[in-house]
Amino acid sequence: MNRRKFLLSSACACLATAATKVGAVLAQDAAPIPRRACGTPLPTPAEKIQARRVVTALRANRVAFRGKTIIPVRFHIIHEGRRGYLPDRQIKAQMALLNQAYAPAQIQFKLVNVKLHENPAWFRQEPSTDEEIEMKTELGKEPEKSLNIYTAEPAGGLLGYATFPWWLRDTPQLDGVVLHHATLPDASRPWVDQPWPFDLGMTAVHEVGHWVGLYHTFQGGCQAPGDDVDDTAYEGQAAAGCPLNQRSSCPGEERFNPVDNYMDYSDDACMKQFTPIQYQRMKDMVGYYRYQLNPLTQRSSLLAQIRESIE
Amino acid sequence: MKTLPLLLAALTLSISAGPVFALKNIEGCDIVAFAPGSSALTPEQWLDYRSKVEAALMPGNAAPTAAGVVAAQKELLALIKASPAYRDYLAGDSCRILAGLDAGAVQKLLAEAAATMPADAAKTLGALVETARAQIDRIERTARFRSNRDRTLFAAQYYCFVAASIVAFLPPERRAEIALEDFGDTISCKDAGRTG
Repeated sequence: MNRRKFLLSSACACLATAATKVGAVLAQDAAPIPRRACGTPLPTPAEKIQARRVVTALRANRVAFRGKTIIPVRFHIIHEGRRGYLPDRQIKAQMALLNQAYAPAQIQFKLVNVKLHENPAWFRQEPSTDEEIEMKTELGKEPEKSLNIYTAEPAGGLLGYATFPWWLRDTPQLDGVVLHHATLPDASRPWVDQPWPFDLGMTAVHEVGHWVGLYHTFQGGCQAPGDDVDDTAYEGQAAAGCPLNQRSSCPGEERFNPVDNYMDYSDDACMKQFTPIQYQRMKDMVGYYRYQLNPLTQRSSLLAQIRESIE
Repeated sequence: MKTLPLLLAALTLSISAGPVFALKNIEGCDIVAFAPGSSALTPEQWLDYRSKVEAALMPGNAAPTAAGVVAAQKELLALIKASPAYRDYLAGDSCRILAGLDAGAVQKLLAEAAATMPADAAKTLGALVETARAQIDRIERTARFRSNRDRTLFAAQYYCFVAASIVAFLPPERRAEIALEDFGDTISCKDAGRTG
């Protein structure tokens, strides 16, 4: 089954006359611009549509982000006594895992800061609560130019949560990734029940995936455009455990469920890969929305013009 | 002068972040599915519930809106929590929670509720429902849960809060006939792993 994407023809037409200059980091993409039609109504939130418009505009202008993007990482370890305390060993192991997973996109993470904060209220935070907002407002640093990672112990079965790159402009204070402390790799964790299939560090890889603009592979279920990534199969619902080699239950979808993808809900040991188009999307999203991470994208007049024309 | 940027930043945060309370209460589903049929609740107690929710929704109320609504919901449930019938309901097969919200159905029910309440409160209720939906939508799209069951339970807290908030303003006869399924897809408490 062919995945279909939305291409907003109006955006393309509008941008057809946009500048053709490219910066050093932006190169002319020789490949023809993919054009597909999709008559499916838009059931998704406005921001999904906007993200699609961005991808469309980048392709229409033949923008390709080349070169390495180095992302400074600030770790904020929230703890309650010994609970939640993380030794350097675990932070380093997590950083190594992130760098391994994102290397094909030429995204590199560089640890610049680790700070401990004892705060029981922040430790038990949940998304969209006072505690999350207070914590991030007080601790978050340079969200436009770095990745703030907070470790805590969110309730309700939450292993972690993140912000999308297109939220950065309106709510920079809330930008970043929150992780359950027990998800970091290389842990000794007497407080966690055995077995604990989420302690190999894949939650950070997954949440940073959102931070660079990826959706869950099961986003939208069987309905187009799913996760807006052509080379992941449609998936009716999130995977649990590691049910490899099962065909998707979505009608017409002949591929296997993407249970080994970092953006599914499988056990850590099951998660092995991003797809090429996921890597492409994260480069696009970082280059466009998180352009201040890279001096070259920050200086690009073409990106500035594209931004002006579609926002 | 140095404080000005800080003040502006704080203002921006308070506007863009919206209500800072999680709009969550899984017991809200019991207010829709169990409480209307409970003989333990008197019409006066239902009226009291409605008044408290309405007061929380009115402009200029003392307590933060969402916290006031959740408090009113918990006070109503507290009146029946000790009853054997409620305990049996929670443990039985008829206990269900919302696994999703039907946007169209919720809009219709909101309109029904709005017809019975002050315009200001109706406006706030509509905004609250929308915020709850937006919050859980954001969380579901950017979070990783231990399991689908955890995800379902987490989202149900938002959906049940919405349903109970709307039901507060429906007339008694309508409240009695309405089912949880009228708000959206449901799942049994047992299947969802609800323990309290």
